[in-house]
Amino acid sequence: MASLKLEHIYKVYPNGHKAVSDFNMEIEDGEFIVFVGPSGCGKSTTLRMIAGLEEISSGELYIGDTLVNDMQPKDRDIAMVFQNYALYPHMTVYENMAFGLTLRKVPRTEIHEKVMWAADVLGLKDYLDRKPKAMSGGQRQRVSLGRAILRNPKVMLLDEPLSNLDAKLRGQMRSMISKLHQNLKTTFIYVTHDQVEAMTLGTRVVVMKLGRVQQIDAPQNLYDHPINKFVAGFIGTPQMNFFNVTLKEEKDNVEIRWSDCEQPALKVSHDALLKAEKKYLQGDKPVCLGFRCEAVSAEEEELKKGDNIVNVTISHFEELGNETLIYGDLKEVEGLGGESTTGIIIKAPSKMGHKPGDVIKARIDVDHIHLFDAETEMTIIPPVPDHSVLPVDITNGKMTLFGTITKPESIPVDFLQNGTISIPLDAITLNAGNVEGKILLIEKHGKKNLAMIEADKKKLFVFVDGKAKVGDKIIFSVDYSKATFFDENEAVVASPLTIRDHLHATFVNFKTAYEDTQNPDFLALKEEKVQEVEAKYAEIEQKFEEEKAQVLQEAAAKESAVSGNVEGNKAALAEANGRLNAELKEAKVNYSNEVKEIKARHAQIMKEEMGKIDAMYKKMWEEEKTDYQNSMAKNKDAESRRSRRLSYQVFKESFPQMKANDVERKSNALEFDKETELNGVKARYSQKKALIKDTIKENKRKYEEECFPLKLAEKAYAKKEKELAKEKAEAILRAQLIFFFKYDNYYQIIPEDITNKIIQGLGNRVFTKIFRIEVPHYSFAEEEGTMEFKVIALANYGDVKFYKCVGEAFGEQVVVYINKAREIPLGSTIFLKPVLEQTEIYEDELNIRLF
Amino acid sequence: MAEKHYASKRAAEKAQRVLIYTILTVISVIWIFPFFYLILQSFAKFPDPKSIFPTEWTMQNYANLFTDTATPFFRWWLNTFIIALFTSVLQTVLVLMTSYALSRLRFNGRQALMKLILILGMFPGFLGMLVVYYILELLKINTSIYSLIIVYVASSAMSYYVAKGFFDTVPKSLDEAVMIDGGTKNTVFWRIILPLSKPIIIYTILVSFTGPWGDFMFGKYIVQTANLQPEGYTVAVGLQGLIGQDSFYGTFCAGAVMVSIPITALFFWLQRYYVEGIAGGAVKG
Repeated sequence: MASLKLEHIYKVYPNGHKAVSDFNMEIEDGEFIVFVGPSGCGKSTTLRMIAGLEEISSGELYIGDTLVNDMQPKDRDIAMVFQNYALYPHMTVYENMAFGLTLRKVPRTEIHEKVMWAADVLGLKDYLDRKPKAMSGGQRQRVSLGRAILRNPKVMLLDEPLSNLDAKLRGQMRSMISKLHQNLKTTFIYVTHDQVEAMTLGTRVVVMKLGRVQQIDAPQNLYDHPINKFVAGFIGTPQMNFFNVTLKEEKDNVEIRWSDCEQPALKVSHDALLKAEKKYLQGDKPVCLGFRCEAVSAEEEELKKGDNIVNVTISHFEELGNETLIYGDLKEVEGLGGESTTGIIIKAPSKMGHKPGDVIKARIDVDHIHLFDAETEMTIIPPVPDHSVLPVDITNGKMTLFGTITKPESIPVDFLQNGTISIPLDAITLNAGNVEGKILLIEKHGKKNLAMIEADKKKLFVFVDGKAKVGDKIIFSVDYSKATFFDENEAVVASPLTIRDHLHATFVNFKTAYEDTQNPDFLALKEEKVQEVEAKYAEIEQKFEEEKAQVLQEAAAKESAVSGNVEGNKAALAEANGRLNAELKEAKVNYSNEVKEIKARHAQIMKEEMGKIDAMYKKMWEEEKTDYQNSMAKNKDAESRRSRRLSYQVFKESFPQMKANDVERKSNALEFDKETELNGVKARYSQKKALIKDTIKENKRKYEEECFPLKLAEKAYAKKEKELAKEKAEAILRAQLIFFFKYDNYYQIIPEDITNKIIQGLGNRVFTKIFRIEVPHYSFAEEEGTMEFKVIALANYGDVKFYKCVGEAFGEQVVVYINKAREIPLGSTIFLKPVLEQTEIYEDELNIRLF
Repeated sequence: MAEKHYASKRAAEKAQRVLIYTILTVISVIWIFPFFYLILQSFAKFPDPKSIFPTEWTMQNYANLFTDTATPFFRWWLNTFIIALFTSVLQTVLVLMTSYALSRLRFNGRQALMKLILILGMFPGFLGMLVVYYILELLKINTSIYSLIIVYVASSAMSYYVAKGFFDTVPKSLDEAVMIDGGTKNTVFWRIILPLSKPIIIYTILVSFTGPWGDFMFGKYIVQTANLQPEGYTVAVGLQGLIGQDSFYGTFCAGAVMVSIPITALFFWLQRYYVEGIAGGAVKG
């Protein structure tokens, strides 16, 4: 059992196709995670990367706390269930399940116990001697599950395990898997394209599309709060109803106006759309309205409520037994209609006496609607908005937002009327600055608390700590460098300062960097690292020698003490072996006798059964013949004579085939019985054989341990010594590997963990790529001899200040903004280097994040 | 009307069948006749190529084969058997391993390599005979007939195609299941793929046994260039020497019959695996 962590996982194929892009997720111990999405969305690829069957192009995968990127599948302690079962056809069910443990050299008695346990859990006890071909699909998949669970893996991976089963079996297996998860409490990762499986099984579901994660959430949240139109449409059957609409803010409410049909506008309260940006409420921005079929009703009781009623022309019905889906359209459609942007599906208890072509009234429950941006398809009422949009005015160097203040110098806008400002949540710092607000409401989202605060009659969102309560007064400050300003036409008049500055660099090795710079520090660093390793190993070696001396001494003492018993022990061993070998021989004889007996018995049965079939067909033949002759003799009517003759002819012709079919069916069934019986005998014999051989081996080992402890200890320590030497050589080699980022003419040493991640991601292609290093403004360190910049301006955003610096690299101008506490005179020259641990590093060409 | 139609269709089918069987019979007679003729002649006391049935029957030809010092047939037979046995074992292992590698591993130049081998295999082997001899001479093994083993085995990977085609049909998910169960590529090959591949193993054994067993070209070449005594011949080389000598005609026929025995035995022994079902129930279906 273990948790999993996927960090910036990419899968890029040699042809440049990105199958998975920037997959980030933390999976907790014991969770049941389902990856769902249409085919080609990268869900199986992600699972196979976790299994180790597919190489990870870039990014890091942790199982527990171990980085497993370069680990073989067998060492990851995972188990996998395949869509096509992947059972070994030449092994019986028992052998199939035991195979993994046998390879891992688990003692036989333990294997037997575990197989029996798994067979018991999955109801396979009666099938242990069968081979996969003699089993049904559901049974085979149970074997495959059994093979996986009996290893008690840290993570269970299931790749569309139910796709090959029929609907009924699928339902049964689904509940079986669910029960297994509850009992085992192991982490399950399950891939499916079936959203019913996803919704019913998962504790959390990952919806994917085109290699990208769309949303990770609990099934109910996915259903209730889809983050975009894709998720909304993918989850839930029948599909959500979608319509093109616009939103217009009125005095009492917000109107949802239909774009593609003439229907009365829906009315929604302002509160429902608090999180929506104002630009959507002007009545001109296209928005996609979505609601599920259960959020619209044609029942009398609902209609009585009177509001939000539309007229629907019924096109057809789908009766599901307990309920009926009414398919209709908001427009009058002629003919069959076809693809329509105004089609609607309504869930109703029955047809309610309607027929196709009728126009009925239906009420839409506006508490359960979803609204998406028509262009980006993202929801416009996210549960957690990432920014707040507020009205702002700027005139005469004054800015009116939360009260009127002097406009921060660096906002490059002199005049703005009826403009808006978009403030990201992280631009607001609580308990600082001088804006005062009041908490209106608090919502819990996972571990975070989202609060809506009101300041100067404007509402904005901010994260607060757990102690905050509704009604509390708080003060906060705004970092305007992160804000965006729009004019009344929604054109951007001031963009935020980029969050990070971009630097470009290449990746070079020690030799290149040293030859180029002749920097003695680099050499010293290398030597220091090697010395460190050597010192560490000197200590380890000393300890090892001490331990070895002691153990060997003890072993020698023991050996001399038992030297008198060697002959006696040897004789005892020989005696025991003789007995075991005799036992083995006997088992073998018994086995071959049993096999002979079974074969003879089955040959007898086969003969009898074939005889029966022969007799049966002979009788049938005779009967038909006499019947034919009789009827020909008695019957004078030409028509019936002809038809009798014809039927007799058909009988004669099909007779051999009929018989052959029966013979084959019977002999197959008998063969199958025989094989199962033989498999059982064989399995018992080979188990016994293996057990005896194990005992012989074990006896020998015990004898050696007893009589020659010194020899064994020497051997063991020689092996350990070799391993240690190898480990040391590797560590020294590793210490000598130092890599640099080359920024035109400055070489920066890359810390070891970052180097590892980059090499992890790109392999030996690192030296040919250009890297983009994104540096936050506060992450520049000043150091003589690094990159040279000239300070040209001070960007003043009120509470925060940045120095704008210009430098040159690779023949191009580089502009960075740095956030420094000290005063720097404009026009002066400073030397800067990024603090790599705080940066993000990308491969520029494919845009793969490496760190 | 319906009945008449039915009857005529049946008649047509019958005629068709008669025609097919006639053609097949003629072909089989042409095919079997030489062998039949050979067997009969091997029992003839006075071999006469012009008459099919011997005038007088005898076992003397067979006796001569094993007793006459000029024709040490048993040595030839043994030589050939040893060569064919070693070749078939080594070749089978090599062919199967190559096929598995080409079927399962992905490496640069795999496609090109496969095509290259295929094209190389289309040239008759004896084109490189001269070079082969010089290589044998360099290795200082050109004086023994057993060097044929090396010559035959060296080119064995060429015939990877059939086995690779077979391995391609074994689902990859079996390999993956083994990798997850704790195995390596070795485990996959020896414990999963091979047990599933009985028919193809049998095929490979048969092919790689019959090749050396009947080969004349390389055997003759080694015998001639190394100037070997009759004790060092293979059956093909030895029997060829008997052709043209009238007194040995009957012996030749007897030898030819003896040569066919191991192949026939091998085939009958292995044929039951040939038809055994494979991969049943491994995956869906």
